[in-house]
Amino acid sequence: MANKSDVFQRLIGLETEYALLTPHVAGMLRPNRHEIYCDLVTALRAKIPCARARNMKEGVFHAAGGAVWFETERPALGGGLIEGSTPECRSPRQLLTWQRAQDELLTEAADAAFGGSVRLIKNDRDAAGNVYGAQENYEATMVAGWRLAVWRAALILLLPLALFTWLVLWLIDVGVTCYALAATVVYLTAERLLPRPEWLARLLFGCSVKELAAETPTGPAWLESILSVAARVLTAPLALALFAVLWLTAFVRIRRELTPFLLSRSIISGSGMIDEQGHFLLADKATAMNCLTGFGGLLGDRPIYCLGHFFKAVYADAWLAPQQYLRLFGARQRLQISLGDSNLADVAEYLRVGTTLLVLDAIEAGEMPTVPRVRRPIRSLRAICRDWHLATRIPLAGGRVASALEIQRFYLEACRRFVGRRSDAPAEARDVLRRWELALDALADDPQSLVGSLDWVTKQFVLDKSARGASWEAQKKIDIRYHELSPQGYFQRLRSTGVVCELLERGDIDHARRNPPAGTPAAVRGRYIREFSDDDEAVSANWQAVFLGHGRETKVVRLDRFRLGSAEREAPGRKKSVRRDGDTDD
Amino acid sequence: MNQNIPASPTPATATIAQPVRQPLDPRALAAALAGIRTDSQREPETYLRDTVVPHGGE
Repeated sequence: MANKSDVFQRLIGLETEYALLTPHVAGMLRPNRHEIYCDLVTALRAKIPCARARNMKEGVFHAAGGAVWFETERPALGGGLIEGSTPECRSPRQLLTWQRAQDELLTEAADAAFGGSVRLIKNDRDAAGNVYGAQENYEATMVAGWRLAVWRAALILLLPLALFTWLVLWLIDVGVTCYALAATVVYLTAERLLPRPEWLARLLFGCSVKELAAETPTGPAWLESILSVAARVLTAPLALALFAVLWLTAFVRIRRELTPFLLSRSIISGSGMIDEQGHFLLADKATAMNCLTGFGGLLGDRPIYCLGHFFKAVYADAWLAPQQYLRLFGARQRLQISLGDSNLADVAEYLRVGTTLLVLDAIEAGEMPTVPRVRRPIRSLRAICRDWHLATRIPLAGGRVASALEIQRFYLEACRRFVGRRSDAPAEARDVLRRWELALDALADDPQSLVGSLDWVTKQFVLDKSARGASWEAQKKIDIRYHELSPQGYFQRLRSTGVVCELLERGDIDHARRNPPAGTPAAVRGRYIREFSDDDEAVSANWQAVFLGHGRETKVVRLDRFRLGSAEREAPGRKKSVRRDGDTDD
Repeated sequence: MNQNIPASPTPATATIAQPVRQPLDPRALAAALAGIRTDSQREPETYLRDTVVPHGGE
């Protein structure tokens, strides 16, 4: 019997890119997405203390420990997403609670800012096929043994290339500034000569001069396209070299042993969707995946395991703070999983995270038995998602086949044995096992009993009852409006009927709307933000540190020491260190 | 500032709260589904257009 609990000790977090309902009023410009983000954050600040994020990405952290970001995706062409990040949590129930709190905070902020004219939608794919949505983050051992030595040596060898890439990107920045100055001079000169200079303003600035003053300028679309291509080409040598090293070294064992679990997980955590042909699929995002491992969008890749944050750390974050590069030398890093839907149903979200955590814990403890190796994983994933009868059997190595249900049962049994060997495993681990088994049994025998518990079953129920014989557009509206977070959203309408299975108490969510989760770096970050956010310049933060004051007087509170799990934290000799280190560093 | 951290959120002895499920109200459910049916057929093309996320995300 193992002595020290190694169950639910790692830090975990969810990122959610929200779609927006922005009604188009005839004769009026559609609101700029960056402006929507700014107004939303202003409304959020009225609800909870916030602090500026120190990051390449524009965003704020709030006193409940989480963050809200503006994801810049081709802004000149109308792109840009509002993204919420939960604080770092340690258990699936804790994460579910803070995710629900985040959904509520942002929904209320949107309502306060726009009076219902702009609404948030927590889904993963729009009617035009654009994909966005959920990302899961799990702290995990990325590399060990000889691979760790290779990874560290590669980071040292890549440094000159990284420096060259920083320089190139800096020169692009300088070039953009020079362009803005030159464009202004050209426009001011031509304005006197041209009878109607508006077309020139649109060509040079991407908008009229009036809009330039009123809105956040994005630049012309043609310049954005050129810069986008140039940045990809110029960073390609670093990207390719880094990817090769990551592919060889990063999360190798986890990727091998976790993949069959993730491919089959959609039968529990998929949120369901109507495809272009009107077929019902189990999951929203899964069929968009086109590779197992990648950087996520750099070359049109949409991977199950996204390693893009390593690339960002090397070419962008380390630019702002060189110590970010040093952090990459650590064996424990962030495992980011892109294969997963944004859930509305508590049980689906709880099981999505809880079962993944248990499988990761068992893998890292070396207690996962030999897993079935899936042949042609992306094709198998699509086959699983296209069959809501759950009868499809996918090919395994050795000529065998298995259904998603059978693969899930294999992992359930492995995790049951893993938890069973630990007398001090948290009660929540046994709760996840129990619900996992109930869900698999119900999927096999009576899927309808899971209406209100699993999203794809619930969505299919709504489609069956409310859209039989309806047009594709009406069915697709149900598919998407199911995820709208306002009271008009279809899942929200079901809440009052008693069909939805709620896992959380109202008081827990209310607590999470105001406070960060205890025992995490977010607890420290949130406390400083609440204390110092009266003066916007007094406090700023990122995932690694809180910064108090500005200029040379800035004090930095590093959060790394609060990343340890309770077992390590409460070990003799650690308590004193945590207390002493609680003081700020200069 | 005191930064001591409270204990882990879910010790082994903790009990897990059971689901809070209101009793199913068949009338309310039927009304909700009827409302969804009506709403879903009201200008669905407009709704789909107004919820597009240009260029998507991660």
